Amino acid sequence: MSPARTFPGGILLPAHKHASSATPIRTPALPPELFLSLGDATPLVAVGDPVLKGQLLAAAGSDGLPVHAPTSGHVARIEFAPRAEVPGHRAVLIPDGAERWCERTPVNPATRTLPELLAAVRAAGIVGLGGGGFPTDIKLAPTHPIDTLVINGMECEPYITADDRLMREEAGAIVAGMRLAARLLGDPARILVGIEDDKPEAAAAMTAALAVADDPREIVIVVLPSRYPAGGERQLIQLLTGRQVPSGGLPRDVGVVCFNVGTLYALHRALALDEPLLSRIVTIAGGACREPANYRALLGTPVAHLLAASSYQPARCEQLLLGGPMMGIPLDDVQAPVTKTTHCILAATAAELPPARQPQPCIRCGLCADVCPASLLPQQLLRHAVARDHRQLERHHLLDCIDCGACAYVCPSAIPLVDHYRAAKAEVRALRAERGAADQARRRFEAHQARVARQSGERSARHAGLIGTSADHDAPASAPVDAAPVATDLLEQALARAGAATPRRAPLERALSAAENRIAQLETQLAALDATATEAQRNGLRARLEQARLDGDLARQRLLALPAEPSPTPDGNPQ
Amino acid sequence: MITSAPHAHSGLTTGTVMQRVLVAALPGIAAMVWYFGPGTLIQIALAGSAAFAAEAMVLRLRGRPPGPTLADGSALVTGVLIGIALPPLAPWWLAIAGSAFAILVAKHPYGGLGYNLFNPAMAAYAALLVSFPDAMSQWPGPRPLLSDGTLPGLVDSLQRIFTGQHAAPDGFTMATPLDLFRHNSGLMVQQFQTAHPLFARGDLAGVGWETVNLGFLAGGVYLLARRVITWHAPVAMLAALVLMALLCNDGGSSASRGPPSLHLFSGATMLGAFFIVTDPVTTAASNRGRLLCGLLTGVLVFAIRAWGGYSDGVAFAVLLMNLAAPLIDRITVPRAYGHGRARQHHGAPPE
Repeated sequence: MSPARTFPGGILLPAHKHASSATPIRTPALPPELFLSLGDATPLVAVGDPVLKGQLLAAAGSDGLPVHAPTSGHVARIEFAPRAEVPGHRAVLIPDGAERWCERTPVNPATRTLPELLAAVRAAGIVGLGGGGFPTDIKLAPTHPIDTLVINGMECEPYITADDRLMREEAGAIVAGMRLAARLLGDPARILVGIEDDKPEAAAAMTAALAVADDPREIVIVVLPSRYPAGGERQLIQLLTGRQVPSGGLPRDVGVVCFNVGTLYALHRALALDEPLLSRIVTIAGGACREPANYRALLGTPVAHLLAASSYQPARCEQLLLGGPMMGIPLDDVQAPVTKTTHCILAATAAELPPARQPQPCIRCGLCADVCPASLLPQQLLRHAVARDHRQLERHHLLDCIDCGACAYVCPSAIPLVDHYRAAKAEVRALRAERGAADQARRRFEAHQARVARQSGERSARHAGLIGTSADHDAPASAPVDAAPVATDLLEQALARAGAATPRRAPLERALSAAENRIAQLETQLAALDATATEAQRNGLRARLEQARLDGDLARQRLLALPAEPSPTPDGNPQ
Repeated sequence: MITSAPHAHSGLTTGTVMQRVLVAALPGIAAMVWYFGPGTLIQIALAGSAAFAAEAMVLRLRGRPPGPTLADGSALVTGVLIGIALPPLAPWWLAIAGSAFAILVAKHPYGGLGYNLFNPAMAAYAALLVSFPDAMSQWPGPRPLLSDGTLPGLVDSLQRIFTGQHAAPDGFTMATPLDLFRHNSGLMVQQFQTAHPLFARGDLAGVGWETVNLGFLAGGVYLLARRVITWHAPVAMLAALVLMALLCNDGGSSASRGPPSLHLFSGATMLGAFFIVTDPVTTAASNRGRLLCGLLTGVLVFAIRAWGGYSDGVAFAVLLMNLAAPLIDRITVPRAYGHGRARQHHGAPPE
């Protein structure tokens, strides 16, 4: 019996999938250079160092993700990456073509404990490969009991066939990854695999792999009608379980965790074979490519390299997109590297994706509302977004929009609705954050007020207790008498200032402490470098250190410019 | 040029939507021409071109590029609806005054396409009805009830419309079914219907009128099939009409306000249900809101027909509900994904 239900709205899209799904996944030739974004992670290798495939290049930075060498070779440069997804430094690796692995120590995952497995997932740098990019180890350590594991094999956006091909060719590994995920999640009662009905071969391969696996749990492959955006995490959960992820919440809030099939494949490789995440499947599609196909691309491979392998014809390309036609973003640099979330490069001709028409006024026809999978009223949202009526925008649940673009796809007036919503969302979020900061400042002030009152009470109590016996104190006679009134004066002053001063003080204080932390961190890094580091590395660190110092000074100056806050604990900054 | 997702588009344009509305009106128009003469076509041509010209003029005055807005055909739809609503042999200036009022008063002062509060065609119809009640109530009788050759042909119609030659008693003007029912004096519904040839020779609600309504119903079904409109407003309006008629029927006594079939298939019921109440600009946004709007429109239509000062009430009912639509929008915001009853509050401060 199929537990499939439905979700509201959605649209039927021309799939355009056969062009790239017909051929097996290709392994492209090694590119001449790989570009690996380091973000703010600390490099563990220096320029010129030889590296082995799978070797750790940088420990986890603030995103919690380590960087590995996708193949063997040497580090040619470490440079500033101006247009990287995460601005920061990047390592340029020149492959030697030998594909020599670093030492791997595969251990049967069944013999390892859960914390060991989680640590291994983290060390492998696995993130959600469906496009979310959320660190997988965090999802695998849920804070809520999970009763359903949802596997996303939908791939509902046109042109993209990376998951389809992977399921056809690696179903066994995906099922193995699925069982590992289930174990890490505390063995949820059921596992539901959603696959769209335009991928019968993938569904058959997965069914066969499950039969081999012979798992005692309830594992159901649910073939669902192709309807965009059925592969959206929230829509798929609704389709398979009938549950809705609460607004602003996560799937685990309703006892569900959802993984993309590619992520499970990576999980299996990491835990069973001790391979970090070094490559991913990328669909190269669109009419401007003569041979659309899927590639097992090493992370850091320039997009141009894959396009060339598919006989890309730039002259025919009207729009080059990172992603599919519904949610992709324009790619202006073909040298941009493949990242963990790159699932498709679409080189579309003008016939496939004609340029957008001039927008016309909204006639409120309501087609957008009919197709909205989140049951929003896009036409009303547009009206309120244009009017910047944030109260109405929140009342109409703007923040529950998932950017799927179904509304703009059907809009007869060709209004770029998603654009309007994105801008409005940024405004609403900023307002919310401001409100949150104000609330926090108010709470902080109230706590402070209570503390001052308590301390002043304690002091006067102490004073009252002491006064009889303090005749021998040679303090000025007036001091003890004045203590309490001074405290209340300060309190009143602080109260008068509360509205203005406190909310501005809090972010500055945070900025200052952040800058100080960064300075300390960078100083230790700089000290640790000395022996082997190149000039480029050292200069980079010095520049960042200088920036951090400037930030700190600025915050400090601004703080000093504010009227002083009464501080009962004089543990201010030594500087 | 900066492009943003989604990069694909269904290809549907406002112009296509308006074309479908015009196509959907064809069966009803054909029925009108057959039963009431070719005057309707002349009225449609007059009102349509006047609306088009007024739109072009006002866009020019407002400094807007007229091309794309004229091409979308929304002004044309307004004009065609006015032409349908006018008596087929009404003087030419009625159509022109109506279209001018629709575009210059009801549409553009509010901001033009998409921003008008009132349905322009109905606002114009109401303005004409209260300003020129006589000219607006001269409907010819349906062809089968007239002796051969009485119903004016094309040339005769043109002459009457442009020169106003109707000094002599014309011999073809006749009360509409709704007029007749308003002035029913003491007959049971059954007797009344057998007594009057308009009903005696009709099956549902008076010969001619019922066919015209069936024509617009067919157009409505087409619009539903092409997903130009949703079923909510029309079904709710028709259901409310039937319900009200049943409630006030009291066994077909002489005080009855007419059987449900009369209300469904006479006057402007089907035109209103599928072409007017569904006007997306002036009705509620959500499907729930449209249900409510349609329902209340149906109740108002019946109330005006039964107890009001006019024999038909579609225009006034629609205008009143246009006024209420923004309020209805406020109270019918649909429950979005993730806002279930067992809603969890996130981001709330601890404790």
